[in-house]
Amino acid sequence: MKKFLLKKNGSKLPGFGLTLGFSLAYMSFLVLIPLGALVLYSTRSTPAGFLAIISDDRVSAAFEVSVLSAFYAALVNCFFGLAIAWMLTRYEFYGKKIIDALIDLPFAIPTAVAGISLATVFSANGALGKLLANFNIEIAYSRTSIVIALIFIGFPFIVRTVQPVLEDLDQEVEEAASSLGANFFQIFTRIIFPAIFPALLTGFALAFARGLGEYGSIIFISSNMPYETEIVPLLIVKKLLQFDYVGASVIGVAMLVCAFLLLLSINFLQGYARNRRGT
Amino acid sequence: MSEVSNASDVKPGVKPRHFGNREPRWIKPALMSVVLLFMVVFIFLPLATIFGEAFKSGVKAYATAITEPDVLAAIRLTLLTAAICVPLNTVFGVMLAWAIAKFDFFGKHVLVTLIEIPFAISPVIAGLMFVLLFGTQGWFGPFLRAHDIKIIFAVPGIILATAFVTFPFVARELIPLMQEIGKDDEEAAITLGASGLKMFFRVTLPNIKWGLLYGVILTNARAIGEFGAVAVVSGLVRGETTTMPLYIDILYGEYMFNAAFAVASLLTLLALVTLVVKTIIEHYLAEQRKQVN
Amino acid sequence: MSIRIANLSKRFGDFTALSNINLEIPDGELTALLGPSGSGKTTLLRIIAGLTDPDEGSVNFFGEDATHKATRDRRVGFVFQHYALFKHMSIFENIAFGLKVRPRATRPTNEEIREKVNKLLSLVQLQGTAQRFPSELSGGQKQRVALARALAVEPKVLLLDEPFGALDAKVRLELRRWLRYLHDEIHLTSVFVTHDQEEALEVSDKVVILNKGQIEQTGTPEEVYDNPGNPFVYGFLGNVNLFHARLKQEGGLALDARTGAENVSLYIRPHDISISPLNTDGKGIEARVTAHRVLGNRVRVELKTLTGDREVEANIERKEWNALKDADLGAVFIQILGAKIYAPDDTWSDYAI
Repeated sequence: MKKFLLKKNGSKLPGFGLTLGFSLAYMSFLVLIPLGALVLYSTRSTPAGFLAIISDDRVSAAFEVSVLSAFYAALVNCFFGLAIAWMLTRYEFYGKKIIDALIDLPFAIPTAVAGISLATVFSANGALGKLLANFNIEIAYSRTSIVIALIFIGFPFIVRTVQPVLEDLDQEVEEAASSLGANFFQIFTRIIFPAIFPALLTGFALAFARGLGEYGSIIFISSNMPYETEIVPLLIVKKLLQFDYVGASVIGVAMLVCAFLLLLSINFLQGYARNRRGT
Repeated sequence: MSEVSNASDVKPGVKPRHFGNREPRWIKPALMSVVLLFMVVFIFLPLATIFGEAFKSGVKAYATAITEPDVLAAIRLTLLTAAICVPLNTVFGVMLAWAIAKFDFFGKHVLVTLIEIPFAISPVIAGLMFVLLFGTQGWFGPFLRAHDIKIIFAVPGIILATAFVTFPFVARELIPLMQEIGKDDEEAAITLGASGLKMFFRVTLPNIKWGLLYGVILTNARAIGEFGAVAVVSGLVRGETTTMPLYIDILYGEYMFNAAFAVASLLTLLALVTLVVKTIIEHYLAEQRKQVN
Repeated sequence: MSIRIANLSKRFGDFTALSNINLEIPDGELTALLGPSGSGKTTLLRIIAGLTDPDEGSVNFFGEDATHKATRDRRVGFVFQHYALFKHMSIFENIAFGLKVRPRATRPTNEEIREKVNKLLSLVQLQGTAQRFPSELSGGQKQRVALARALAVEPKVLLLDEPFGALDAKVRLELRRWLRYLHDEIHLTSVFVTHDQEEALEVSDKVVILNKGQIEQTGTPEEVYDNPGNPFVYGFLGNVNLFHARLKQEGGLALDARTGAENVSLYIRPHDISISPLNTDGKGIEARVTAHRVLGNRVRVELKTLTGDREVEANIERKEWNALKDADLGAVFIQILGAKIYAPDDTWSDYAI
C-alpha cells in the first residue's frame, strides 16, 4: 500500500504505513461501512418506491419545515453573527473575554439541555414567553420556535468563520480608503463586506447544514405535529419506531445527499476564500 | 469630513483606537445593544433558566434528584461512553493527522473531506446507520440474534454512535497545527538517531500537546452531551441504556421538570468548564503560533 | 573519499531537481554546494542525509552503499536552516537529545552526557546557557546550538543547509569565519549549502557549483574564481561586464558593437577595469561617467561607452577615483586589465592585450 500511495516527493519520516493503515481501518469500520450500509439498505426499495417515499406528503412537508427553518435561522444568524464578530474584533469593552468564550456555548452544551431550556424560556410561563404573550405573540411549539432553536445552534458557526477574517483585514487598506475620501459606509460596503463575504457564506452554509440535521434541541421546543412542525430527523426516528427501516433509510439517503452537497460547497467556498486571501 | 476623521477627539498622549476613528459614533452603542439583547435571549436567559429550574424546589430536592439511582446509572453510562470513545478517537485521530500532515499521498484530499462526514450529517442519521447494520432487521441483525449479541438498544450501540459523531475533533484540530509546525523538528530528531516512537513522544507530542488537548476536550464534551445519535440506538431502558442527555428527555417527557433541569445543570456545568479550559488552551495555542511564525 | 555520489537524479512532479549528478566529497574537508535557488543544492544535501530518496543513482558512504539506509543509521549531523531546535527543551536537553535517545545498551551515562554537552557548549562558545531555552537565544546562538546538537552524536559527516541564511549580515560574517576556524580544529567532513558565492569562496575547501540540477563546475575556491568553466559560473561568482566582440583576422578584437558580426563574448569583472583621463597606450575605450558611489575605500563607477552606448560597471580604488577628480568625466578612457573570452565553440581563453 505504502509504495502505491506515497508520492515520491513525500517525506521520509517514519510511520506512514502504520498510521495511515490503522486510521483507515478504524475509519472504514466506524464511518465508511455504516455509510455504505445506509445507502445499500435504501436500495431494498425499488426506484419507484424510493420516489414514492420521498414525495409522500408528510415527508415533503417535513423537508419543507427543515429546509425553511434552517434557511431562516442561518439568514438571521448572518446578521447577528456578523454583529458579534464585529464587536469582538473592533471594540474594547468590559467582559469581552467572557462573551468571546460564551459564544461557543452552543457547541459545548448538550442539545437536549439547550432544547429544554429554550423551550422553558419561550413557553407561556417562561421569562420571555410571558413578555411576548403581552403582545399576543406565541412562539413555543410553533414553526418559529424551530427557527429559534436553530438560531441558538447556528450562530457560533457564523461568528467563528467571520471573526478571523475581520481580524486579518489589513487596517491600512481601510485607512487608504479613508484617505481617499471614502466614508464609513462606503468603506464597509466596498471594502470590508466583499472581503468577509466568502467567510459569511461559508458560515451560512455551515449553520444551514447543521440546522438541517439538528434534532435534540428542536424536539423539545417544537410541537412536532406532522405536516406542521415535524422535522426530517424526527420523521426518521418515527419510521424507525415503526420498524420501517426501508422508509427510514430512504429519507436518510435523501438527507445524506443534501449534507454531501453542502459539504462540497463549503469545501469549495473555503478553498475559494483561501485563494482570495492569498494564503 | 467629520465622518472621515475624528482625530480631534483623541486625547493627547492616548493612542487612537484602531478602526474607531472612522466609524460613526452611533454604530458602536447600537451594535452593542443588539448583541447584548441577543446574548441575553440566547445565552444568559437559558443558562439562568437551567439553574433556576434546577434549584426551584430547593437544594435538598436538587440533591435528591441528582442522586436518584437511575440518574447515577445514567451518569455512570455517560462516563463509561466517554472513557471509551475519547481515548479511542484520540489515538486514531493522532495517527490520521500524522499521516495527513506529514506525508503526501494519493487520495489525501478525499480523505480530508471524508473526515468531516460525521459533522456534516444529522446525528439521527448516524444512529440510523448503526441500526441498519446491527438492528433486528439490519444487515447483521439475523447473525447477531443467532449468537445472542445485542448492539442496538444496548451499550455497544451507544458507544459506536458516540464514537462516530466525535470522530473528527482530534484529527481536524491537529492536521492544520501539524502542517503549520512543519517537519524540521522531526527530521532533526531522526538525524540525531531517534527511533520513530522516541521522535513522536519527545518531539512531536510536546509540539502538538495544546492542539491535542483542545481536540480531546471537544471530543469529551460532545461524547458526554450527544443526544440525537444515541437516542436512535438506545432504546431508552432506564438504568441500563440511558445516558444523561437521554434521561433528561425521559424526565422532561414525564413532566419532572425540576429533576430534568437538575441533571441538565450538571451537563451545563461541564459545558462551562469546557469553555473555560478551551479558552485557556486557545491562549497557549496563540502563544505557540506566535513562536512558530 | 568519504561520500561518493553516482548518477543521481531526482524529480518533483514535472520539475527536475537533480539530473545525473556525480560527485565525490573529500575526507575531512569543508565542501560548499553553491547555486541559485532552485538549482537543486538543498535536495542534494537532503539526499545525502537520507531525508529525501533519489529517483536514480546511488550514495556511497565510506565505501559502503548507503542509498537505502535510514537517516538515523547514517550517522550524519544535519544543521537546519531554521535551526529546528526543540523549543520545549533547554539548550542542554537539545544538545543531549541524540545521546539520550540511543538504545539503553549504547547510551552513555548521565555523567558522560553532561560532560559531553559541557564540552560542546564550550566548543561553540555558549558556556552558561545550558539551562536556557531556545527562545531566549539570538539567531547566531541558536545556530551554534544546532551545530553542537549535531556534533553531539559524533557524526561521520556534518551537513549544513544554508546555515547562515536566516542571520543578519554582521552575525553571518562572524559566524562563517568561526565555522571555518571550528572546521580547522575538528576536521570533520562537512558539506554546506549556500546561495552566497562570497560565503562559499571564503569558507570552503572545495566549491561545487550547481545550476538547474546539474553540476557546472567543481574545484577549490581559487580555481573556480580564476578559471570559471563557463559563462554561468563566471557570472555567478561576481559582477561582470559582458561585451560582444568580433575576433579580427589579424588577431585582436573589435569591440564595435554595431556590425552584427560579433562572434565572441568578452567577460570583464568590474575590478579589472581601470579608468584614466588619458589614452596613454592607445588601447583605451572612450566613455563617460554616468554615476558613481563611494563604498568605503572603493568606488563603483557606472559608465557608458561613447561609441555604441554600452553600459559598463567599474569598481576602482578610492585613490584612482580621486585622481580623476579634475578630469572631464564626460570623456575618460576605460582600460581593460583582464578578461575572459568565450567563443561559440565553447572554448575559453584569457584575454591578452
